[in-house]
Amino acid sequence: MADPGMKVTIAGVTLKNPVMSASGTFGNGQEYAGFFDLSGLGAVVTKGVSSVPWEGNPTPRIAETPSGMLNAIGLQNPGIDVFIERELPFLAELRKKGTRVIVNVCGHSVEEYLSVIEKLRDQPVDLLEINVSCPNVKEGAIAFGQDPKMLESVTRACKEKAAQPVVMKLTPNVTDIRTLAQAAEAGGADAISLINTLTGMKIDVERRRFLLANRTGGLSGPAIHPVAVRMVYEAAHTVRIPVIGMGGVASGTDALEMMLAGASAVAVGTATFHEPCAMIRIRDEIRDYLVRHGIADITELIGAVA
Amino acid sequence: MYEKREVTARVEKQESLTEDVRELILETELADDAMPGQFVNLFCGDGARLLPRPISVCDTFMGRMKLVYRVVGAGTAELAALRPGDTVRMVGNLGNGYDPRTAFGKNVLVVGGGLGIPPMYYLSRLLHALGMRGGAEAPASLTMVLGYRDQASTFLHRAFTGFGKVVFASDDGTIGYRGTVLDAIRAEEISCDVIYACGPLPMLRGLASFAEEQRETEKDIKCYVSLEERMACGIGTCLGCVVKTKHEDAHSRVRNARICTEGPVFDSAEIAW
Ligand SMILES: Cc1cc2nc3c(=O)[nH]c(=O)nc-3n(C[C@H](O)[C@H](O)[C@H](O)COP(=O)(O)OP(=O)(O)OC[C@H]3O[C@@H](n4cnc5c(N)ncnc54)[C@H](O)[C@@H]3O)c2cc1C
Ligand SMILES: Cc1cc2nc3c(=O)[nH]c(=O)nc-3n(C[C@H](O)[C@H](O)[C@H](O)COP(=O)(O)O)c2cc1C
Ligand code: FES
Repeated sequence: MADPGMKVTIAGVTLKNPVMSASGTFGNGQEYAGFFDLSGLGAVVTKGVSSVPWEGNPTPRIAETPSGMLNAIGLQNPGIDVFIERELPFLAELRKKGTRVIVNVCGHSVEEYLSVIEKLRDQPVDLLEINVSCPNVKEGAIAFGQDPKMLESVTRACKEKAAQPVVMKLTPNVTDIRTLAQAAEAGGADAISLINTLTGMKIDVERRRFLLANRTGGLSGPAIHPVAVRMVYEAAHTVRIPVIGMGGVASGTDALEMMLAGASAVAVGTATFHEPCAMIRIRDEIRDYLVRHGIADITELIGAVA
Repeated sequence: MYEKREVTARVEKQESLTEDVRELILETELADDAMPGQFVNLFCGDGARLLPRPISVCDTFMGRMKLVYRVVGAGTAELAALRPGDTVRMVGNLGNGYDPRTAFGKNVLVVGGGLGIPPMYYLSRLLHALGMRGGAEAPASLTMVLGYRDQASTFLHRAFTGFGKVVFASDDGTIGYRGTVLDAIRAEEISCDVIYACGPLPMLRGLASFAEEQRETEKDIKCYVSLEERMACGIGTCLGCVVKTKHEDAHSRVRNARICTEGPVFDSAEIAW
């Protein structure tokens, strides 16, 4: 049998395979270049970029939990200007090798999102992923992604400004993910990605204090995988736009589960901390599965379990 | 610069140094280019423990790396169960390490407290070797001050003999001075141009202000400290391990430097204590 087709398409952008990094777990890729050939990835998703530098939260920012971790980094980043000047040239080179570049955008207000999106208009970027889990400072720090009306209007504003297709990244910290997926679609999103981290808390019992300085943090890793699969399934069966699935993917099987639930591509985050080359192994395991099952093209599997 | 890499190391042997401190000898290519002050990130066999355990390099010799660590939780308990022939996955060599050039021709004071002592062994051994070679690169003198809880919890304390003058301090006075390493430094009236230190935060903070005082009154002494923080990636991508600095950091330019990458060794005057 010929090599199975691994290409997938999201909002008109074709990826050589469905595996990409999850924002915030891969820097901008450069640090991992010594561990594996980054051009083996379908796409690199950058760390969240804001309009100005963000300091992030106090430490400790990280705590381990069973089969997972909590993080409260607080989106520390140097801001869009440094990103374009210092980080993007490396990604532009990678892009020439066919690996797509997806920039993750964060902001505390619609204006902040728009100022980043504006500056990326003529940059070598394939897709924008908008992280709507950031608290909206104006509306009393409720996340943009938790209120359908707010999400729809942020999406519409981003779409109007963006030169690239827009992926809205949804937070799982909502009662019904379907209404948020619909809101993003109604606002004109080209795709959605989910899930971001689940809000959690860990207490050091011996010392009787919070493990994270921020008290709460986002749970990620294999612990959240079944929740993510359920949400990807619900979202994918509610909207017509493509879904990028993520949350606890650590093996080819985990990735295929996401795709069978309806994801067109899969992002891998926390698994990389445990195994720097995890994404390449996952890609190879997906290919092996296709060969083993005699499947000619991976797209046959997207949403195949309904 | 050597590349950071993921390797599978083979356990050559493991011994107990105290009730809860272990010495692990690993066969690994990482031994060939590890610098004092650098660390390795060890992964647990139990996949439910996702994050790496950072441990400082205590020594290297002939393709072997020595790690000395305290059993404090489930991950280090798992490490303690490793037997000769077992393998352990790790990423190294991480962090900047101490820059030996800052010791050239200087009166050097090395300070280790508790589990901050292992990396200071490797550093002291190399500084001593530099001294033996002579020339402009030789430190003018080498003094080591080691702090322990008590006599029963000492480890590696004999290993430093021969490198220079060794002074001890312990909480209860059962070994060396009764008190902190700083009490011992003042009691011995140790004079130095550069301090290298690793240990608990209060100790490092104390040494930083000691150096600051000296700078104000008499002379320009430098103090380099090795810091700790919880880590996820160990290579600079997650931004989990930062410390507040006085000046813009290289990565995010927000005065939050990454301990795993810009550190773990910092000029104490750069830290916003
Ligand atoms: C750069 C660096 C060098 C170190 N060198 C040594 C050494 O040479 N010898 C030694 O005994 N210890 C050293 N430590 C501390 C060592 O990493 C922790 O004791 C160890 O990770 C505890 O793991 P555990 O599973 O037993 O404990 P648990 O408390 O169960 O660990 C839970 C989580 O917290 C993390 N964690 C717990 N304590 C620390 C800590 N102090 N620093 C960073 N992360 C922590 C663990 O890695 C793990 O992710 C070093 C730490 C750093 C950052
Ligand atoms: C340390 C860390 C930093 C993260 N930073 C971001 C970020 O900047 N922007 C974002 O949209 N998501 C961020 N995330 C969320 C991940 O992209 C991903 O949605 C989530 O971790 C679930 O996937 P995983 O279980 O494979 O890690 C971060 C996650 C972690 C663990
Ligand atoms: S541990 Fe990830 S940046 Fe230092």
